[in-house]
Amino acid sequence: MSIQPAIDSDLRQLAGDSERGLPDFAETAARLAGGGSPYRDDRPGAEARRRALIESRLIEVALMPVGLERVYVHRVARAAAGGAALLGAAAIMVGVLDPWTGRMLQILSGMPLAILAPVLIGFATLAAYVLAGLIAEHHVERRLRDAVRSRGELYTDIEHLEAARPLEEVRRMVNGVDAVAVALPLLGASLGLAVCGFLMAFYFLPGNQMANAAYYSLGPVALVTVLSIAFVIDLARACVRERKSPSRPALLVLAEHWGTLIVGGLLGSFVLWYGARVVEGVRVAGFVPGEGKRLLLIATAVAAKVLPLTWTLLWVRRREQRRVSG
Amino acid sequence: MRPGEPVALSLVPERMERPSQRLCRLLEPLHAELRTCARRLCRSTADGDDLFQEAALRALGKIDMLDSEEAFRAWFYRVLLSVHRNRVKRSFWSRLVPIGDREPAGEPTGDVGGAERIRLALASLPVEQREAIVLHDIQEMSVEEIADVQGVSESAVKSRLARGRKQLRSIYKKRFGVIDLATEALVPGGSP
Repeated sequence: MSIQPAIDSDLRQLAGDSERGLPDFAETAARLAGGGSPYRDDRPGAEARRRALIESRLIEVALMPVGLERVYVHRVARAAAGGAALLGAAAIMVGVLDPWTGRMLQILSGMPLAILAPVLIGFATLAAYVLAGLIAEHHVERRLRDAVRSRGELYTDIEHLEAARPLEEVRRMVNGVDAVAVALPLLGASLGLAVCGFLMAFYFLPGNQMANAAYYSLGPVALVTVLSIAFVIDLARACVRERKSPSRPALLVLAEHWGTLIVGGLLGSFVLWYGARVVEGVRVAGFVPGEGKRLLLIATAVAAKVLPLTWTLLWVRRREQRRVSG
Repeated sequence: MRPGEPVALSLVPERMERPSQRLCRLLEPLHAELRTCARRLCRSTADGDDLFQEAALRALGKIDMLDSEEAFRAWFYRVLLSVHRNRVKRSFWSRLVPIGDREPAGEPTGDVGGAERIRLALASLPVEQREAIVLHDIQEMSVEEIADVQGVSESAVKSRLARGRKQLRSIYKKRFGVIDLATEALVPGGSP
């Protein structure tokens, strides 16, 4: 008898034998879903891993410095307050430029624009600060909750929990609002104060003179506003650059220097003295200073506000950065 | 989130297909074919199942390298053969020491079944020849497909098949003697 038929027959038997009792594909699928756990039934192991990861993340959240969350909340609140001041100032300026809106604002509030401006801007700023603080607090809490939350599916949870880094997440959030928390308050405060100052300076003048003075001062105010916006944008970009580059941007170094505060104080004193003279001249002699002098006065007034404000905001920011990095 | 608070459960939105999901989707229709092939390559069913699981896990790690899903079958065969060769190389003893439902190593007894006989004979062949015979004679793959899977030329596959068959015949003759196909009883020392 030839051997080959025997071999062929055995091969057929082997084929039939190996097809018997094939396990279900679900077993392979479960192992693959587990990423190749050494356990044949890796579910209990995976569940233990999930519990351990949740516990570890909870500990990380519990040990997270409270200051980190507070910094985020304050930054968001500051940015929102600055934004509200900016909007309030814009609304008042529309009221100044458009007589119909101005009259409506006066009728609705029962106050003249010069009084309404600080009240409106102040109230909007305060309300935005409180509300944005509450929202930011809720937001941080939700993100932290997400970091330790189970989503129902075991392996998705493990993947998610392994990737979650609550501390890094909050740090990223804090750094994300860094530039805005400098730019918006600075812009809001400088423009809000400019609008209030602009209105109050001319509020005490007789009707025609006020209208004329205000009208003729709009150009210089607009110019100075544009310049201050450019400065604020550059400052915000410098804040972003500072985190990414090992060397500190020159603008930041300059703005954080004590000299900036002193220069701001000197400019403020000059504005008070020169502004008082101008107002007195207008009231007594009806003499409105030339355009160059008005531009000088407005630019100095804005610089006298912006410089100390910048210094103060950057000082607060430095303290916050220390808390974040610590 | 404060520690100690209950952990909320919610469903996550649908996301991109994970590698394991992709592999499961591709592997499921071929599961029976590939697992039986793994069993046929090994000395025992348990070894074959282990080989298949190991190959599946290796494939999971490399699934990103799979360009075309149409080529998945051949790709997985290549992974399977690669894992098989590694196992053969790294654990010489595992071919000799039985685990689980494996029969004890050594000369077969007279009442050994046909499947077990061919397993023993195949285990004695060089791994490339064993693969070629299993893929061609049991899995019914063409020479061209085997050449693709083994990464060699078609003539090399034909040569492996011829040498493997010759060696099988020699093993059958030397170790199992004459075989009575009707009863599958062994007659030691006889000639075919």
